[in-house]
Amino acid sequence: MVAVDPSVTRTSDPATRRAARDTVPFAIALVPLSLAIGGASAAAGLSAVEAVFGAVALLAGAAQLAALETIRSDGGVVVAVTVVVLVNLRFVFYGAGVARWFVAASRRQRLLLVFPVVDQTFLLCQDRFTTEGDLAWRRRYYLTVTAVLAGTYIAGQVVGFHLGASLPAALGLHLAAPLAFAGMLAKATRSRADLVAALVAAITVVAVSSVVGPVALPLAVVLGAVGAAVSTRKESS
Amino acid sequence: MNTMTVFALAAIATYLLRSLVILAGDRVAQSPALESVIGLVSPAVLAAIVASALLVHGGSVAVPDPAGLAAVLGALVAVRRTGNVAAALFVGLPIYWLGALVGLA
Repeated sequence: MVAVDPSVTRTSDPATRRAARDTVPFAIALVPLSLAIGGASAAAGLSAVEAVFGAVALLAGAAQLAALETIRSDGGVVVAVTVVVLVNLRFVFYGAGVARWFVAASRRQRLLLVFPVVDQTFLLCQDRFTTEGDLAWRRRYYLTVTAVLAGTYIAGQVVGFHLGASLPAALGLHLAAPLAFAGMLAKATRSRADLVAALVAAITVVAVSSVVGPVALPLAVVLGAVGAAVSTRKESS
Repeated sequence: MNTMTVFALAAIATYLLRSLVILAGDRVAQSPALESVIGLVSPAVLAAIVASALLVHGGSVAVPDPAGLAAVLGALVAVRRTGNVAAALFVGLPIYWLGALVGLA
């Protein structure tokens, strides 16, 4: 699974270059989403400062949209924070990823590094760090991915806030994120266990979305990953 | 409702989720059980997000538009064949545009 041995050899490819190259499709896919969130912030009556603060402090698109929806419907602080926690439950797994990738770093460094971890960072680093990089290489790779994604995300929101983010639907840019994730999925499903995890998660999210709302995504992830891990263990025992 | 308070509290809660395993200590972070699950989180997250984007609208299950479905399938095949994630966008978006052109979006 994830290589945690700090003695793993450093690759000849500079971390920053490889990270930038790997991140491009995700950064492109992030543009329409960040424009839309910026537009939603403006529509919810937020000031520019509030919108940027939300983007920087949360660094989580789906959660920010959920919080904006609650703010718009005047649902209360407790409801808004609860919804954000439910939407972001999967971040526990991402934090576990950071803990494993940077096991050679101090705890304080890991607690700093974990702040900006998001879907794309986890997916890219989980893929790369399985076989590559010592601590310094990984840290440069991770921070470059983070910088490109966060820069795109925040800049997109600022532009979306001021423009109202009314992109023509015919461009199909709403599909950019699902397409990038589908591409990553094609690479991430290498074994039978991967396929089981993907299928269980996909079926779960569709089956329970109308019942449990924002909990559907984390629930699907937990059922998919844990279910596949358990079934693999049963087969091998 | 104070927007800054909502975002600040939500950010603190999100950071606690992110840092939970690190705070729990190396024994948890390095446990074999967690290792076996972590490796399967990526396909699960990806499939859930893609399925949700295609099949869930406004919290309810919906029939996907054919152009979007074809674009995602094309993206999956393109990346399988090329190994390049960028191909998902370069192949998927033109498929969507073609589908939209013939009224499938």
